[in-house]
Amino acid sequence: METIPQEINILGVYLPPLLLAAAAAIATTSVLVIILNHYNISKYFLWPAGVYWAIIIILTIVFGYTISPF
Amino acid sequence: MNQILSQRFKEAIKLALAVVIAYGIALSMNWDKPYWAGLAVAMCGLSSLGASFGKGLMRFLGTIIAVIVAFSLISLFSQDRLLFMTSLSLYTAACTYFMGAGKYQSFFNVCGFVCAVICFEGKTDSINVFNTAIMRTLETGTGFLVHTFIGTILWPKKSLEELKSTSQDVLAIFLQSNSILINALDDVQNNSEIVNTLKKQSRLMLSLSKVYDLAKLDSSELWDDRKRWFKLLESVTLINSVYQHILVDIDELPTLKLNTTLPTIRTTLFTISETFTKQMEYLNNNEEIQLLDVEPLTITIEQLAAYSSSEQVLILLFVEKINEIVSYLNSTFCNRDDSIRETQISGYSKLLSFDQDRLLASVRVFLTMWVAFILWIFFRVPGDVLFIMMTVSISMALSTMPHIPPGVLVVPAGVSIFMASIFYLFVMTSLSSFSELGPAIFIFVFIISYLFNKPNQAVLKSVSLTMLISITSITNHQTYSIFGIITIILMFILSLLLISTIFKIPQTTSPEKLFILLSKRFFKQLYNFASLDRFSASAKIHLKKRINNKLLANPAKTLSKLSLLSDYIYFNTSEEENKEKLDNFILCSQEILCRFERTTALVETIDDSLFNEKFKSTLSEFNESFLNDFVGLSKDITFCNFNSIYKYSDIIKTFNLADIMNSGVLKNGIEDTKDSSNEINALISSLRSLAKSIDACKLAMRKISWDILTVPRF
Repeated sequence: METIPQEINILGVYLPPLLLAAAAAIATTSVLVIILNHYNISKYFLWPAGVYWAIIIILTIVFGYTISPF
Repeated sequence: MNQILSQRFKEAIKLALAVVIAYGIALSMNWDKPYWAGLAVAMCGLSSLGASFGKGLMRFLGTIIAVIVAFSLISLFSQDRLLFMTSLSLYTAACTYFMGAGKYQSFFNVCGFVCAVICFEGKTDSINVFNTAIMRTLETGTGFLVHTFIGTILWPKKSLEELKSTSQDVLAIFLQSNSILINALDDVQNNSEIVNTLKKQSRLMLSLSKVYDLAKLDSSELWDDRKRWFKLLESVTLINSVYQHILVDIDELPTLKLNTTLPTIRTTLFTISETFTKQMEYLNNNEEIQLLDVEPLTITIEQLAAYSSSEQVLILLFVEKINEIVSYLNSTFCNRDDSIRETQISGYSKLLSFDQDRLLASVRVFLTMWVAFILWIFFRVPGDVLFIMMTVSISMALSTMPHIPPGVLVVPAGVSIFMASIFYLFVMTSLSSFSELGPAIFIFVFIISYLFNKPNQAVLKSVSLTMLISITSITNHQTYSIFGIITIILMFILSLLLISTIFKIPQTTSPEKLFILLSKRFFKQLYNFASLDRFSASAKIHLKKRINNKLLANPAKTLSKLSLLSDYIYFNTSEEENKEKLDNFILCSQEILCRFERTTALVETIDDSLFNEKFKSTLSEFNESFLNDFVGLSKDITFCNFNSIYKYSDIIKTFNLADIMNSGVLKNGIEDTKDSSNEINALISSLRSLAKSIDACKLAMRKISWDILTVPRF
């Protein structure tokens, strides 16, 4: 795994790694909350919007460490 | 031909033709970036109903204003990007705020996003900013004019006609209700027919108010005549509620044998039916008709003598209801009464009036713009400034509809990107002239427009068309590059992710959550309106018409948002009928609002010294209890589950005509003056109806499974 931050090339379009990690985090979180809503797990959270933001931040860091170092 | 082609088909043809003509003009004039003209037409697709000339003009004027503001901003702050961005984002946020006011939605939308587009185009190529702005205005203007022109000459959209036809349906159902009443006098009852009529009546009333809301935005003819239509809808709502109350209690009617005691009742009912038929004719032909003079029913004490006291109350109530219908008949579809007061705040005060939803929408657009700007400065975002333009235009379009999650755009945009890519890579490369390109564009635009035809799919249609036009980027010197497509796709994904994240501030915007929030707000606004002491002399001086109208406009506004929102609420499969219950709740709320307005208007005209202490104390008891309920409901929407249902009707039961005649509610007796007694009778009838409406609303609310709606969701 490459740990030096570098731009990611998507079919000729170069993207900054943090942007990509954040975008991947938001996309994953969006899918995750759909599942949580579907199975009514959302009722266990007091402030779902806050949880949504928290998951995005956590996943951005996780993706930053694993997929797209920034 | 008109009958063969569906409205959906015609709308799709109109839009496709407008796009092709706009492209044709821009390409033949050899204008730079001719797809702007096509984009302008695509943005017209944002309107829920067809474009009228007024709307096209609004959009064109919006572009001119946007260009002027863009020039001013560039000339003032071009050397300081922070000042420039602050002023631009504040301007866009202000436009978003004004967009929510309703009437000038398209104007402010164009004012906001076109300004951002020109500013950022200018930033990248400051030498040619003037040319860019002029070209943008020219092409946008062409696009809008072409769309308006096509909309005017080819199957002009008749939203007013739709409103008229729905009104006719409502009148037809009133006619049916009236015939049920006539049959009930002869002891002929059909329970299933009554239930069906009641259901149909509720559904029609709801769709009438929705059609009115949409048509008001679309039809200048309706806008000019809005006061009359508003009054008309109010009367129709009241007639509907009276019929609903009568039909619910119709079981007792045959036992009273009113045919023999009150022979005039049959004639009155027939005349009412005839009036409805005449009004339907008027809506059909738009020719002035001579309205029939419907005599109010009168009943003497001698006629009542044969009945027991409980039956007397029933008869009096029934007669009162019929008279209520007769009185509402006078403010009808064909009565040109200019002295009608309108509860909506109109004009500039509506634009500037405080609305927390609009404020939240503008804050969200402001934040989205800033985040996009920061991303553009600190990262190499795909599409460069195009990313900001796209983010601003999508966020502005979605801001007024927070209940629509940005994720819903993914599928239509995906389909559109796929289709556009195929068209761009495989079809366009083999085309050599506009005679070949034109039909190809026509087909693609037609398909998208046909697929997303419903009013609530307007944003989807607009985004799909924008994607199609952006990806193809048709010019006279066409170049082909897969890089462009990838950039647009990435840009779109990033914009959508950004918007969906920012729009979750401070709360998620699921329709269920918004529905509860708005329902609570409705009761709070109702409390604010109802808690004013209207009986004291000092209050009458202070409570000018304007304050009343303003206070009434707030719950009316909330209700119209609620009725739009109910379409987006989805329950689990086991709770399908909940939707109908929600609609019923909205209908009951509308009725309460109408009743309140009527009662307030009556209270303002009555001299309170005429009331005796007993009446006053019962009235204040009634007032206090429903205010308590409104406060409770504004805090917790499930509040009604813990209260008795028929509380208000029980309190108000003591206010009947017999009671006034016997114990004397009036200080100086019934023989005081005829006018006063009539006014007080009307007030009592109005209070009784209000009580019934509140009870019905509470009952409707108890039936809704609030526990499903109140579950916290992302």
